[in-house]
Amino acid sequence: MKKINLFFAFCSLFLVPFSAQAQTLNVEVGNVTYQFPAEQAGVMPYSSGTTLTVLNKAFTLSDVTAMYIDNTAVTDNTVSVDYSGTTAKVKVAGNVAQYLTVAYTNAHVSIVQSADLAQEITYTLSGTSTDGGFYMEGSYKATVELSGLTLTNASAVYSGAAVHIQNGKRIKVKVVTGTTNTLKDASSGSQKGSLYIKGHAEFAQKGTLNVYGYVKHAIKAGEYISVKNCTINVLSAVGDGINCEQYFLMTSGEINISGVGDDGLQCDIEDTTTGSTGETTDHEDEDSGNVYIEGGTLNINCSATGSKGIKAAGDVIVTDGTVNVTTTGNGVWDATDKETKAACGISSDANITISGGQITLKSSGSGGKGMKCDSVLTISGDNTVIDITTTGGMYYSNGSTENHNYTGNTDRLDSNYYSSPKGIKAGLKTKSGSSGWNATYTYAGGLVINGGTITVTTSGNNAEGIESKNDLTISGGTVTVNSYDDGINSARNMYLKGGTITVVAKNNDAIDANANMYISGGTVMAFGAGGAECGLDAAEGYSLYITGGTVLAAGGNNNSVSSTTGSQPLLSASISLSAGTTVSVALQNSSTTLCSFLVPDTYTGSSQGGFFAPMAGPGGQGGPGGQSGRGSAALITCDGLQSGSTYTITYGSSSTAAKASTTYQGM
Amino acid sequence: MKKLVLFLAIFILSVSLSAAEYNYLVFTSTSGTTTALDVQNLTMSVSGSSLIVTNQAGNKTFALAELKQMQFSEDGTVTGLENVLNADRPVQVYTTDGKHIGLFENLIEATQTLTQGVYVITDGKNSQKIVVK
Repeated sequence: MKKINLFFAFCSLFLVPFSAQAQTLNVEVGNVTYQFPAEQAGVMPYSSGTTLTVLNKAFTLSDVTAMYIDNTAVTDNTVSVDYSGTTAKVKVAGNVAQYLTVAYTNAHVSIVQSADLAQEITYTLSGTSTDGGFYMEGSYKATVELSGLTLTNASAVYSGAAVHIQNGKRIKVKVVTGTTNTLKDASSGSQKGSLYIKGHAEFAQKGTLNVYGYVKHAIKAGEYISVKNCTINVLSAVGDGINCEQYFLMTSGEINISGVGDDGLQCDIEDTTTGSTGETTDHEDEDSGNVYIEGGTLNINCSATGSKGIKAAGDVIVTDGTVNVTTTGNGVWDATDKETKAACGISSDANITISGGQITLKSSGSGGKGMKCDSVLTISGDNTVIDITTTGGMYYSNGSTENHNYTGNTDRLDSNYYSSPKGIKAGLKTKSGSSGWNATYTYAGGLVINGGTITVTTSGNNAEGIESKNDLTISGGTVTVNSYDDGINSARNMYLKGGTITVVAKNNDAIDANANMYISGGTVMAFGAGGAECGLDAAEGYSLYITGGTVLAAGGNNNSVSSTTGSQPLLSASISLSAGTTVSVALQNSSTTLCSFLVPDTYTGSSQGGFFAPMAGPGGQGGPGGQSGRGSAALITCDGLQSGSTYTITYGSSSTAAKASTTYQGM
Repeated sequence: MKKLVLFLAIFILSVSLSAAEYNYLVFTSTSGTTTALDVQNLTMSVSGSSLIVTNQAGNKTFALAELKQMQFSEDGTVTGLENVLNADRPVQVYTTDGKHIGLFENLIEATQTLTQGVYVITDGKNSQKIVVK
């Protein structure tokens, strides 16, 4: 082994020096240095005493400020731009010199690639300038390395963008590991982004990029954007924080967006004439408008009126990662569309599909929503966690008068004039006939929950928890809703097949289907308000069908239950409920509990009373017994109930008896 | 042990292959006269119609109008390589053990296409061994 080491040392001493003798011809034209390795330079012809040509790059000799030979090692296919104050030094590898036209004004650098270029060039940008810019134009894919670059464009020479890549191909943006980079664009320009890339931008490496957009967006790509590993901080933008077309894909890294005048992240369809391609294999030639979150952390704070944290013309697909969006903007009147618009954490013109990740959405403005889509919203995945909180009230505007906490009746109000706050809204209900009470509608999309832990809290006036504008199906997961208005609402049929659903609605129905409601499985605890508000409510002329599941529904009333094939017997009673009360059911004179429920802490009783009329229970118990809860009409069902049998319902220290039936006559 | 020996062999080979030294810059006048200058600390500047070349040996002035070309040289002589490089002539590329790699439009295209290694390149009249890094 010692011999080997000695041999290695020998090699190092006597052979390495040979490799250090790489001669390079440097041709300086002002602040631009073209570097030609000797082994590549070949014959360098002079012409007419005025021109020198090296590797097909012609230099006008009167423009050459210096030529010298040194031992600089040159990496093929590279260009470096080093900014310092009001100047920038550019170095161009000789093998690509013939394909590049370099110009500069002080620290503003322009590089135009010729159409003949057939190899990828890496542009490495570094240094600091308070009035500089980098403009590159071409038609061959390129890499831009941000390697400790602090660039403020103050005078918009070649572009107002700090970095402007006028190249429609793939542009890899390497935010070099260990470096911090800051870009600010010129407020006097007309650029679309402080960092503008005409083509598709692939962000990579583990550095940090801070971006300020003083004219429009902070980061704008004409095609798709993908983000891997790096940290991107959008600290200011007149428009969107990040705006792209085709699709947006985040697989890792961290994006923080704040201080924006419009949406946090917006993705549009590039070819609106042809329309969406939908998702394609490996995203090849994809123009979907989709937003994919597959990993990493995305933190967005939006304060503009009607702004969206994430806005996609296509689908929003979350499979992993962490998404935190806070919107604080109020609703606003859109004079172009002549309708109100409201803020939203995640908004899709198509589908939202969430199968993983941790998503936290907060909205405090009038009409503000957590998440909404025009088509189908699907939530699944054992590890999916979604937490949504909205605190804003209803927004009203007719274009001249607005109200950020509208309390008027909206039953006959054109929907263009108001935006209701909601935790989740999925699907579209579109008026297709006459207006008013005679209006007819078409329905699209809907909501499907197959798994996950979903918590929705709304506290503003008229704020529903979860609403589907078409059918709604829950077959798994843990869904907890505390709402001001309806807890869970569907414009059409509702199917509760599984999962654990707990709903407390303070001022309206807990679970409300505007068509039939079918409960066939899962555990459902639904606490509606008092008076006419229900725990479970189906629309007039429609029915509630219960063929399975473990259910406690309480409110001022409950919907009638119709018998159907396989109906599961149920119990009805008027009982007093309060937070922390345990409600259990046992066959009369039996100690075997068939089912039990714990009234959630958020339940404060039916605020409008209900028809509390406790029945005397076995053992002389009865009455509220000093409990603080309000009277509630309760429906209870679970596996094991026999129609015609009598059961004891125990709630707190009280109890009552009820006979099981497959039907119930409620409201 | 075998891996280490193999690594060292490759290391030595690669170092040796990249050890080409271009110690001279050879200027050729329109009349065919050549002047080889040592590249150590060599600088060039244009002054009016002259090219002034400075190295550790001193200054040399060329009339630009009488300069045909310049090129790097390992030994101060101009090889036939200029015929290969200068013309946009097709070149044949071979490995050092004689295996034919292919025909390229010119030397630049060949060097941009070939993977790392040592090749023998010929334009039919002249041949040159090249190193692609």
